[in-house]
Amino acid sequence: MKISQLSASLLEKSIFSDVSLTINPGELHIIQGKNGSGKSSLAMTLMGHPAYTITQGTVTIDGDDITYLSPDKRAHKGLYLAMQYPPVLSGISVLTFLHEASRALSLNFGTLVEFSHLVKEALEVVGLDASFMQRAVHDGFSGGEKKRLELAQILVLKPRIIILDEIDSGLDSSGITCVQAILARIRTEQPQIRILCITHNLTLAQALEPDFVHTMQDGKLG
Amino acid sequence: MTYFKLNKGLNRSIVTQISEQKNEPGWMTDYRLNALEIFEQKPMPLWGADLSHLNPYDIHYYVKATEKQHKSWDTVPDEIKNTFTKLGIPQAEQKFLAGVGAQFESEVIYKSLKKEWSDLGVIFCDTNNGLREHPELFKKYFGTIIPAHDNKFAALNSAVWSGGSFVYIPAGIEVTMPLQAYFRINEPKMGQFERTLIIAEPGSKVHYVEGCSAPVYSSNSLHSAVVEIIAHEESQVQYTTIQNWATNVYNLVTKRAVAHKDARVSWVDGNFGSAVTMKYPAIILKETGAEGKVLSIAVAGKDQHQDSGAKIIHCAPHTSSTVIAKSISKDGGRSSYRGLLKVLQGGHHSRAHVQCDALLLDKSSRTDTYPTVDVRETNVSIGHEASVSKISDEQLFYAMSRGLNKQAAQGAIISGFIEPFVSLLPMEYAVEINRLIQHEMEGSIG
Repeated sequence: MKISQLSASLLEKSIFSDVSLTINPGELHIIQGKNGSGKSSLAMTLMGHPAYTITQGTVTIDGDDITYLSPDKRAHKGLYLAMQYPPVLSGISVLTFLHEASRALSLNFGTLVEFSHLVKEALEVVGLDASFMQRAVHDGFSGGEKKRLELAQILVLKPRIIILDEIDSGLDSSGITCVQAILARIRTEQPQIRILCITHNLTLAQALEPDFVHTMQDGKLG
Repeated sequence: MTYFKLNKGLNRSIVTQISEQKNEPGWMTDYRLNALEIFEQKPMPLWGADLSHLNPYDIHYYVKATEKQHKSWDTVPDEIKNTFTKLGIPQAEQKFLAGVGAQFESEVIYKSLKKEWSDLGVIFCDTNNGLREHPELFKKYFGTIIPAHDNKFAALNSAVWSGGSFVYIPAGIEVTMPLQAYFRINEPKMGQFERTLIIAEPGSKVHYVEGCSAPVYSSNSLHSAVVEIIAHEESQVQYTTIQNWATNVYNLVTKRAVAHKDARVSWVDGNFGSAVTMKYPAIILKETGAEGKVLSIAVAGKDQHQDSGAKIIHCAPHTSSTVIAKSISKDGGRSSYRGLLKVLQGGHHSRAHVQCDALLLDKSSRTDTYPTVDVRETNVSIGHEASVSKISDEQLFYAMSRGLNKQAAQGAIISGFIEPFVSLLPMEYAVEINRLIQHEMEGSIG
């Protein structure tokens, strides 16, 4: 993934500018920085959130320009964002939602029953009980449970580029160990996976053994 | 099929003819004529939905299909079977076939009851037959929950009623399969005035399901039903309606239940069709420990006004009630929740919870909430929540970021919104409703 001189605004106010970053297959990058430095806005912009307006620059994945694609088309390109504050989807069970998503992404996991085994396993890996499968997406979840579900979806939806936005917030130390373990597992299974981890947690940043560490400050990437 | 059709309009002679045609006892003829007077005296309601385009004197009040009633499926004419096929009934109801009662025109022409149920003493028949075959039981309860003077359209129904279901469940009997009736209008300018009476004796249990579907007509049609439920001590009654009238139908319905000691009554009400619906299922929690639930969903599209809600009256201590009302407005449609929650003196230690959630899909649509709460006891627990939402950008973004296109993402969120309602329906109805909702949403999502 190649981000070239990207600038974006929110409600006509510049949020970050001139951000350039290339993540090659197999690399893990960290972006650290204070609250309000524009880290999360960059993550949302990369995923195509409609509130952010790109004012300059391009984003490409394997040479394909995704700068102005809708979020679903970006997902089809293999991009995944584990959100800092994922919304509640009332009345839609985790299983149903992931089944629809996997169908939309043309992932073939067989019948719903076969698929449910996969979801169950993914939930177990992130430390969530299988009963979460039948619960509505993020409905009544604690902060840590939300993060765990965001991680579990990576195991099910098999993205090629993962953006983790403050994945450690809301997680206790066992949760952070879990993040490490999952990323290690994914990197072993998919050596080509590209990971962009946004965090202000230095312990996590070090523990992940990143290839590159960047710092964001006042909307600029250093 | 041939029809026996009375002239358009409404007067003593028409009402008398309806009664004579059905060979009714004199008391019913008098009841009808008295109700007609009440109807004529009462003004059109000036609250709720706009009824100014409805002329109740420009309606055929009785149409009788001349085919005889059929006891078994084999003897049902192919024409009717084809209609059922078109309505998707075989898939939905084949296994319940023996329990189907169908209102075709104004008369139930097909009805059969599983033998074991009749052996148990369960009565499930056309209401006119109920009057003929069970006169004492009928007279004891008919009109006791909704008297003719209750409102103008209850009076109209009381004057011209025809068809509907008469259900009687003896003490201690649980009817495990839902009793289902299918209602249908296929004649222009024809009124449907079915009258349903359900009596659940102590400790009995029954689920009655009624679904409607009608083709589209250019002239106004009127549907004005009355449903009365008597739930005796410790009985459980659920009444499920799926209403999908053509969008030129005025659907003005009075539904009320009385729950005695420790009885449980649920109205599950889905309103999809009609031009105008005014319907507020009511439950009177008459004795200690009675429990009532009203769960409804309304979808208001172009030129539709769904004015629906619930009425709950707590008359006795330790009674409880839940109202969950969901509405979706789109393409300029209008939905209103109109609710009454009343706790009378003596209704101490009652619990009530009302929740109204409205989803607006575009700026041209409208939703309103008119809740009335009247509590005359201090030791009660009352909760009221109302929400109006759009499909949020965050939800949409989230679902799309997982690969769903915009329409699929909106469809998923709408399915989630109505899930609390759909999950209470029998499986085959749940499937139908989901299909209906997806169909309704096609084209309205851009």
